[in-house]
Amino acid sequence: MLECKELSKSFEKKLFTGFGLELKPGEIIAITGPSGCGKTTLLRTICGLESLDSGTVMLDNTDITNTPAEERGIGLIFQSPVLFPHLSVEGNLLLGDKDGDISTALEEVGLSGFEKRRVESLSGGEGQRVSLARALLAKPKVLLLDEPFSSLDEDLSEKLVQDVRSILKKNDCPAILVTHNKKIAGDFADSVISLSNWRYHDMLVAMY
Amino acid sequence: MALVIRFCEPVLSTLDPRLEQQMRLLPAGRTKVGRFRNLWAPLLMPSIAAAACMTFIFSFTSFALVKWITLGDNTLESVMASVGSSAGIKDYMISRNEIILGASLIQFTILLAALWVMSWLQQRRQALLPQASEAIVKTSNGKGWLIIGPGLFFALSPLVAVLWASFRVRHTNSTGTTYAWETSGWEFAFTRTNSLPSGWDALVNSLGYAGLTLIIALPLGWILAQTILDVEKERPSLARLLDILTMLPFAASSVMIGLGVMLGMIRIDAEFFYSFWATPVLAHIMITTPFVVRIMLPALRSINPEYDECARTLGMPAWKRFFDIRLPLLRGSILIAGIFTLAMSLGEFGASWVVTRNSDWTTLPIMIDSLRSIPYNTTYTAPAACAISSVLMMITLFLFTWAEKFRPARDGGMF
Repeated sequence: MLECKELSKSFEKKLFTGFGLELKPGEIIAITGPSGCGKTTLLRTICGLESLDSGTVMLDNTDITNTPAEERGIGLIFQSPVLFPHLSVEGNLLLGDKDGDISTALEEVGLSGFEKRRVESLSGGEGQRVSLARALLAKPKVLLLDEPFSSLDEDLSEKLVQDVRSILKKNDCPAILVTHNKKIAGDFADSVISLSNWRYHDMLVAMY
Repeated sequence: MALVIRFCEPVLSTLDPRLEQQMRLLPAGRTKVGRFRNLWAPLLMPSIAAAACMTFIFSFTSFALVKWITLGDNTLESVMASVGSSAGIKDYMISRNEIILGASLIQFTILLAALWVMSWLQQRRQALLPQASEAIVKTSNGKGWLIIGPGLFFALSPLVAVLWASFRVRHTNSTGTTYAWETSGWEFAFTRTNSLPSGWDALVNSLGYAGLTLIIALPLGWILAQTILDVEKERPSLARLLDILTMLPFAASSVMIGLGVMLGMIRIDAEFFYSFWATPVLAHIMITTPFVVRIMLPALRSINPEYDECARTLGMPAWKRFFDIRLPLLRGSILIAGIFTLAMSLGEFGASWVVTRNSDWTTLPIMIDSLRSIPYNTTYTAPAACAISSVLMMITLFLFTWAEKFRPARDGGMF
């Protein structure tokens, strides 16, 4: 279980103060808010790419607040797919698990036979699917998704939302999605938190 | 000419073609003249101006050409080299030291100004150019050969002439002068005589110096570039200062660097340094390291920081991120920097000439100079000089051609 307690972060302005959440095994939470409210920064502090001003991040009852990102066991899918251009799709997936079953991982995200494809030949949706397959191969304890559907067209986005949700549920992988799109948040997550309201210590939780 | 091509070609070949397509649809770009005036000229002008600055710097500090071609005429560079043999020796020929000091300061100031203008133009250029996708960049353009063809002919003609001259031997006797096709020039070049070392010695020394320079200058330049990049995020003004400091050897000509190394040698232990085989490497490292920095810095800047972040979230430790992500992404630039370092060290003349003047070590360019210094009426010296030149030319031509294979398709140019 992931527990975030009293997380605070500010750059030139205050982004979030006293933020807290609990993510139970297999649960999917979405965090919404307008651009610039600190959604991405929140995810980056949880996975350890940014340091916190204050607060504690606990994973399975262990304090990981000061643990380096590579040792936390938390996966992150970026807004645009981050695929290493010097490697094929297969090479990218092997970074997640060098002994992993690549064919099954690709089949799971609907990209069977893409092993030898070069990453620059992939469309945006395909790239995000490869990112997801790679992140899942690394067997993260929690998966964070930073607006991964925002750059896709509406039809593709809707389909990918459902596909990714069902893959996460099938793998029993807890996840946090941040997005400015309330519809996507509702379709994807079990519960939704508004980060923009959190700044005023007013948590809005809507169950879907 | 090579510099102008090197600076302008990437701008033309990597520019997003939609810019020209858009210009065609606007009133200002309906004619070729309009498109040239409103699109190509403003985009190319900084590159042409930067190439002009670099051409000025190269020509201003040219030593071998002045020494070999303009008999009796001097430039600041050749004066510094020719009167520099006595520099640094305490209380000896002080007036000559003053000449060198004055010439060095004048040259340094002019070069620094030229470098500053070039750096300013380069910065403006890099900020202005939206680039095409890699697929478009790789599309060949047949019209390009209309420019490249004559350019290649112009650039390669002297090289072919040197190779040709290495086999053309002039015989003079009482009946007159005759020319014959022979390999005697090559044999003379690679045979040790009482007054000259063998071409093999020069080749082994040159390759040894180049290899040692590579081993030191490449990691040194890489570390300097990485340091500038790391400092840039937190303290941009300090990074700018470091950037300028790494460029300073550009503002010193090769002869000036050679003189600097020689003065240091005299101060520390002249006898040891003159007998130490690797001494010229000191000058070669100073000359090549700034080039490594200039190649590695944009390459390091171009790596998306999300690659490292993504690798961290996949659980990769620092050493694995370096070997599996960073090193492969930088492979092309590392190879280009390495090949450039090798080629520059192999062809370096001014600094080596000053540093090795009082020692027995020779390199390919110094051997060419030694052969050319022998009176012209000796039958084999001119073909032998051309033979050594041909060897040097073939090695460097191979290296530069090889380097092009590793250049990223969307490389912005310069080196």
